[in-house]
Amino acid sequence: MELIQHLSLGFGVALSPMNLAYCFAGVLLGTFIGVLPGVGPLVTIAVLLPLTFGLPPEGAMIMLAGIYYGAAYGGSTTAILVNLPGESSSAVTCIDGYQMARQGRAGPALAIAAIGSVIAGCIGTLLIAFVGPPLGAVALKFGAAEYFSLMFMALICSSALVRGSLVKGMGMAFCGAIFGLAGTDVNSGIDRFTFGMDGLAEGFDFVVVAAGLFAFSEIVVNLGVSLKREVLTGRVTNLMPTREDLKASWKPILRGTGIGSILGVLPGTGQTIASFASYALERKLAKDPSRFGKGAIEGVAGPESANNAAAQTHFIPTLTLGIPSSATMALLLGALMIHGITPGPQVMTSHPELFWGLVASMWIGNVMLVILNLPLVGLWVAFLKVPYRWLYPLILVFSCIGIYTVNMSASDIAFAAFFGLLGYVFLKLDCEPAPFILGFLLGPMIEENFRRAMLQSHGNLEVFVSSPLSAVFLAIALGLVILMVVPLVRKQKDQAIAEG
Amino acid sequence: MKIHITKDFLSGALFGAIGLGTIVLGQSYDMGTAGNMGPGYFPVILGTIMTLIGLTMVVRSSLHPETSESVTSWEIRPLVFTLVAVFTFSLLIESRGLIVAVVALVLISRLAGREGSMRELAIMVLAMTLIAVGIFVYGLNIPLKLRPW
Repeated sequence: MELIQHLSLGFGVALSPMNLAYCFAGVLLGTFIGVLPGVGPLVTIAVLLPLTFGLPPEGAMIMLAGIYYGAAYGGSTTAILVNLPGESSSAVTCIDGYQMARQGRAGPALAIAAIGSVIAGCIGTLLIAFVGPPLGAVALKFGAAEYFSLMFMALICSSALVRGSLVKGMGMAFCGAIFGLAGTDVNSGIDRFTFGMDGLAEGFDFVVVAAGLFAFSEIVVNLGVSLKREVLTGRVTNLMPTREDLKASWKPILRGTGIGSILGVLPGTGQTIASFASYALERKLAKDPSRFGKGAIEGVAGPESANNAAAQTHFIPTLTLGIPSSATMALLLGALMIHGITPGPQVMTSHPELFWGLVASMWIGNVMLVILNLPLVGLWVAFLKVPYRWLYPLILVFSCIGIYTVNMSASDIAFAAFFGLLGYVFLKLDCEPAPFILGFLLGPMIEENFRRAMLQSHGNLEVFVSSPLSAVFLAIALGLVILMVVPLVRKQKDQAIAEG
Repeated sequence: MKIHITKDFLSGALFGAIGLGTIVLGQSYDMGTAGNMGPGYFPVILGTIMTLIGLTMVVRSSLHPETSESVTSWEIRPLVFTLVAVFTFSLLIESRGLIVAVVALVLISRLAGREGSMRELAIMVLAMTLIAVGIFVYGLNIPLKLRPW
């Protein structure tokens, strides 16, 4: 069995003392920032990216991945105890999780969230191991037209599956692509949209955009509202879920894992949409839907599993195709490139120790997370009492120095302030930043593949439909657009999202 | 007809402006042909789609203002001081060094919020400087200029 060989190689890498330490550091930090509202995994990874330059590539990836799925985990603690999603993907967990906490059942809610997460995380990781190699083999045959259509589909997916209308989502995606244009055109060597600034010759650095859009604008909004936090701490007494809890939860956990895994593989869909979809499904399947919103344990088990499954399966398109399925994944790809590894289907064969080491570390990390989360929940709750006025200067200091160290360029920090302003305006206008950031990342790759495909076909657009795979990707994108225009489907999507 | 300045209307106007700007700036680059695109081809396509998206949103939100709400308040004070703090940091980091830049960043960003005593602020400034210097300069050996001289 090739798989067993691969996995034993992977565990060999992941179980080395140094890599275990990186994995532990990652999940610990991930849980920490997952618990802290207002600090997300994206910003954390963006800011800490320079700190991993000195590590070996496996260690860096294992740690960054740990931050990522650790945050998906930690976010549920805040959602249940404070009614504040530590991460947007935990927003739906607030609904029933917080109600359970108010009824004195915070312990079982936390436990079910952790159990669901670990099951979903392990199954999701298994899926990476199974689906990765065959998908990578197919992807090796991709040409420019297939890559273009795949990335175009990813953009449409992310535009369609956010709050608000499809047109607005697409506006954000194209807006991101336009900002991605800045810098030297790879084909002709001409500087475009640089406004004569030297600092823009290489375009906007992704860390700059991410810090501005997510860290700075969030700080402004958080300072504007007074965060009222009612921490339900005294009541976390009994962690053990009852037999009825487990009986009610195991099916939602498996269904949530299924939904999350499938949605996670599609590039452009977020973890948030997976958890909302799972919540909507559980409510539809429940014998008594009125219990939802009043502390139904299925409303915690399903979405938390979906969220974590999607967090893991996001790695599938990222690692096998080299296409980031979310902004955070793009940062991980960026980390790979910094270590001189070009993302793409060849990574699995050229760097097997990296791919399989990362997969193996995810199982280990998921187990570490349960140990970290359940017995230590009191410690995490203590962090919730840290006032925001202590937190935001820390975020600012780390962001500013982090941005500066990427290129040692002071103008990058000023650009980040500009993206902070832009991000704030977007937030006030209810424009979701997720499609923007994906457009920013995929834009240059889309342009490159579009130009190459058109060059090969001598300007004939037919090339995008004459290849069956490319046609399928475009058909999925088109289908999604049509689906979103159907009033009934759109209403249901809005309803599902609005319930958070 | 009275135009309601809703969130969707403003978003559409912003998108349209960015799209038009892209088309105008894109004109200065060589277009090339569909079979051999120059650096201007793709930006102009993007700008055109963006302008159309913006127009659609402006028209739709003018016809159906009830589908979107207006912005009720802007957080001017936190916005200005947070961005000024970051911008000041970018001006100071190379000329005056890390310590001055961090102190300025923490002090100015303090004006963005309204809470906390002076003693707390002094502790914050000291703690942030120590963390920044300790982690980045001594922990990670990143060659950052520390002092103004």
